[in-house]
Amino acid sequence: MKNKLILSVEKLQCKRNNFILFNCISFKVFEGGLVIIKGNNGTGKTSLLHSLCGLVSFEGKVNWKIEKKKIGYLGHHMGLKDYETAEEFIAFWKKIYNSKVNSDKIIKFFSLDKFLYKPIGALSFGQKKKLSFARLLLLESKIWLLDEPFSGMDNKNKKLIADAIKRHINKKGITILSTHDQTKLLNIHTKQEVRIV
Amino acid sequence: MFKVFIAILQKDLRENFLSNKAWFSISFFMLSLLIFPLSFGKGNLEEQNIIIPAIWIAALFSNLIALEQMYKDDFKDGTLLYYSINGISMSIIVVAKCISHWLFCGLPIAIIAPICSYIFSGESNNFYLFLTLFLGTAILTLIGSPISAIMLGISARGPMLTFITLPFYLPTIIFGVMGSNVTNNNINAEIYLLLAILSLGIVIFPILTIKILRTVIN
Repeated sequence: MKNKLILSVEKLQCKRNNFILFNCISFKVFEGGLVIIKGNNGTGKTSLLHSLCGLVSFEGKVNWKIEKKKIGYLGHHMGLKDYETAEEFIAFWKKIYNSKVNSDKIIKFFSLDKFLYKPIGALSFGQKKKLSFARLLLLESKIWLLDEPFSGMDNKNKKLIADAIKRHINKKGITILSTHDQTKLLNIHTKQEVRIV
Repeated sequence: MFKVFIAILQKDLRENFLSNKAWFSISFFMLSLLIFPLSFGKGNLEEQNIIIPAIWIAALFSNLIALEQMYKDDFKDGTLLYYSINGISMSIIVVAKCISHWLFCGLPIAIIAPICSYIFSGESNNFYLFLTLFLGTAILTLIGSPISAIMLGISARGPMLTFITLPFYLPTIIFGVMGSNVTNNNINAEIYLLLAILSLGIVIFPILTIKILRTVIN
């Protein structure tokens, strides 16, 4: 049975200060699909993700076939407060999203229990990123847009994140991620690559 | 929706409580008030009836100090971006931010000011001072909110914020000082004017802030 179409992008073009970042980008994403946006630094990978969120103005067509009110996004800025503890952070976003997800499972999955009561300011970059991923899981969104999810992570945590993405895809969610890194970890048959030059 | 509002308000209040910025605003108010009797002399201060304008000037600048931080941290660390992408209503965020800003930089000033007035001038009937400051500081917060939002993308925000905000504060200061000076008067037009500005401000300024924040985030 063919999967349901979730997103169709046609001839997407994005400009910054009259300079064309990328041009004529087209792809379709079906249920359980994974799109990897590849490109060097400054080619517009983040802008492409932002245009899919509707944050940046663009030319072309971006058609979401499902309600895109709840987009799970993970960017360079992680929205973390140094004075908060990891536990407070999770509790806050659970309230904000009115999430029914069992946060203990997420804490266990990302091994957050070791630094749950530490202030976020004292955590390493990788630990902060895992915490940001925890928020993504709390949202229970079908759409994941991830900007460089593997950057700054060690091999063990890269695998952990790849596992989270695979689980999401198995649940018929879609993931669009940007990277200039190798993506051998994500061996998924629905994988398609979009290269920005 | 109400739960989200309470959660954001609690987080903001906690952030204000833990950061030095909000306390700095209150201590700035107290310190700048202390300068007036030192420079004018206590006798002159009473004779020339300077204490009320002095309180208002100090209130204005302490409000300005805290204004810069209103949306800055949330914008810098990406929290505003996550709220926006995840479909959290901007109106909830703006209202929560305005309330927490006023609770830290407006209400304490309105409470402390009558005590300061009594200490410096011996004036014991300070109800109108409290009332005008209670309304006036809320107006200052509301006026400052869209200006603080519009300054988010600018690097030299501090001086710009002061220059842009001050002219908009003038009517509030004028009516506030005039309203505070009236004693035993049943018809206090200035307080009604402040109430009118506040009523309009509650409607207009949050909407303006929401529009600006959306543009700045995008």
